[in-house]
Amino acid sequence: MLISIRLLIDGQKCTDCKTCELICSFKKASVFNPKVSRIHIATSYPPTLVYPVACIQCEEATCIQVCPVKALQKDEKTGAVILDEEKCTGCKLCVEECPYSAIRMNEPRRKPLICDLCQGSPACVEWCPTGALTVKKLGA
Amino acid sequence: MDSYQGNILCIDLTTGRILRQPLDLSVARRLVGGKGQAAAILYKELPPKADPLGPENIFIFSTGPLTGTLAPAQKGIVVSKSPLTRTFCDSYVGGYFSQELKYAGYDALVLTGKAEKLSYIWIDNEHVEIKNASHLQGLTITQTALAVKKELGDNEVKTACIGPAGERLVRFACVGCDYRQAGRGGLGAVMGSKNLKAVAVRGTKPVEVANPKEFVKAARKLHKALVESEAVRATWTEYGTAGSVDFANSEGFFPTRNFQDGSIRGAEKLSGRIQSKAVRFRKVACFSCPIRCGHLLMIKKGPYAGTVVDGVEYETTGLLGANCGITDLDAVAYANYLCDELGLDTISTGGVIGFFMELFEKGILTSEDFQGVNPKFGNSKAVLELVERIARREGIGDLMAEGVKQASEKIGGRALDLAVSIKGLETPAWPPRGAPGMALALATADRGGCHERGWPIAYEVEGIPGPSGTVERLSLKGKAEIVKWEQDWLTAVCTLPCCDFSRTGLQPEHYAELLSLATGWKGGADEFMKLGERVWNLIRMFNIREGFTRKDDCLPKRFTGEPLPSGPAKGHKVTSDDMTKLLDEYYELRGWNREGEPTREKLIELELTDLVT
Repeated sequence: MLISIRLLIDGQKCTDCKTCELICSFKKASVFNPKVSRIHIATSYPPTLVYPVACIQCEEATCIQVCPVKALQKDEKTGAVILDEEKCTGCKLCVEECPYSAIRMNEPRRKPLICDLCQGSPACVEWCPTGALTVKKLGA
Repeated sequence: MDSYQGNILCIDLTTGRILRQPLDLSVARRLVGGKGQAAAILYKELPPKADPLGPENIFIFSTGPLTGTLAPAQKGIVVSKSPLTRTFCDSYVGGYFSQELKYAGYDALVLTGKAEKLSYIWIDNEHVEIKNASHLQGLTITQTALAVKKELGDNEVKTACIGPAGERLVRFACVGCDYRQAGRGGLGAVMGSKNLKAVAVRGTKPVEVANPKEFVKAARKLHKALVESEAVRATWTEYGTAGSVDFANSEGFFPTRNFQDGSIRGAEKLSGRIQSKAVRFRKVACFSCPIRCGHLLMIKKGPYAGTVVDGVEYETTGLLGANCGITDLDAVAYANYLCDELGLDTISTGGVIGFFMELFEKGILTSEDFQGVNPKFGNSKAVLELVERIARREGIGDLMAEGVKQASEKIGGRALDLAVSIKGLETPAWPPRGAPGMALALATADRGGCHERGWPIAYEVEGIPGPSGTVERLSLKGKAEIVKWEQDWLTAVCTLPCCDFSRTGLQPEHYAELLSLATGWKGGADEFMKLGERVWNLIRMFNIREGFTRKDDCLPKRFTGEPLPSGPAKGHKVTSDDMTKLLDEYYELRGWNREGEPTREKLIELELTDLVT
């Protein structure tokens, strides 16, 4: 069995500071803009509800099943859903079908934004100032 | 590659003309951004002595080179000539509006003119549109934000809005940005005078830095330092700014009954300790900020139960609370909520109401003037009713909406002696009778008596060593040097623009390093301090052009003439003689003449000559 990890999210601890979104956009796209982050803090207005949303890495991943061009697959090492940008046509089916609304579109690039768990050591977890984001190890 | 977007968006609301101007690099090199960039625009473009509420006034949202990056503790900044003080005015705000503007591709948004009817501006990257807002007239700030988001079909659009107070040109109306407020100086009234109800922004463009790898490494170090700092935790994170209530009340700084006293019985009921138990709902932070001083509250019992408000900040506990004789936390939180929604600065509102309560106490105004309100100190119902009347300029509220200075001049006589404001800005909750350095900081602050341009109390009372070592609380010695040092440092931070709270934990060299790695700017701590001094002098030149002189660097009579009735500095005041000595020393340290004007040599040294001629 492979050793994989999951993001653990505690919405009560999140302050909506967007540090996770910024480091994610930097790490994955080499720029700063929360709109290209793979983790996204969902908030109400006023911000009584604040909750970071990212791919929870479903066992039976709907996004993989619905992708018409097989651009999504599970990474063998980490178990995370990985996007093949070459194959992806930007059809948005994965965005629409994700049962947890955890996938957003990178609008300028027309590609879905899916958390790949940073090959096992997520930058958002390292940077989160409040402990709202942590990592749980699965398997043995 | 640097972290600027290279564009300034200029909109003339009279003609509807939309222009994109390239960023002036010679200005960016010298003044960096934020406060500095806005000061240069205002000095160059605003006709001297312009009416702050006339179409010629300029209203600027100014970002800076660290906006939208991973730099810790970022702020947004709104700049205009203030209708309250008639000085340069920079008002700061947390939230996310400023970052979104930068992501839309702009270093600044510069607004002039006056729209024919109530309007809002919609910026979606390159798409810029002036839209009708007649249907938003009279809406509160949250109602406006939600209506605009709904109309644009995107909940994540960031908004800057005014409430009814801004529409009615209340001289201390605020601008509400994503549930935070640019409170001070009445810039909401400037928006109102332009018939501008809101600005909405969506930006999908990247912000990049000159040296990405090293920048993120340096930012990580600073985030970590702030998260791990015990001083940050104790000063800001745990109880927010309201953590200062106990300190201020015991040291005689808590403004009580229009600043007549420096402490009030029952102050602890407003403290951060009590707030965290009684009303705290969740903690909230500004953009990329590990300090997270903000608290969202929910009132749990009584007539205001269920009200949600961001606060109650220290300043609000002081001004809407003790300064009106009130220590009922629920009532102060509800007054805070009303101000945020109607679009009023809580500090000035509390200053004005406290002043009018004293006018009533001393018999200068009577029950007849207040029409059905009993404005006795301690009557929280009266405070809530007066907040509404100010926002709508109803009855006595119309006079109160002019602010303490202008209202006192209209009433005249003894009212002038009771008016507590400095250059027209209602004094914040750090009255200076027990701290002469604080007196000098308030008297010389650029936007009127403000505590965020320098806070010498840290050195005078808390005992932190200044540039030349520790100082004695009530002595004048070493105070001018501390004030200059504070002003230069905090002004430099405001060009990035970052939050003055990051001073707990970070030093000039830290931000100098981030600035260098983001833009290629050259320099360390000394150059960073010089940057602050340069911007401070440019703004001084602006205020001088507006007619301000040495005689305006002064304190209200309450602080110079009446001894403090209680606390460790009981019996103390800052006399006019003290002020003369402090100002003489301060001007000399600044390289200004005895009238407080920067000398030609100083302007040459600071590379400002071409900007101020």
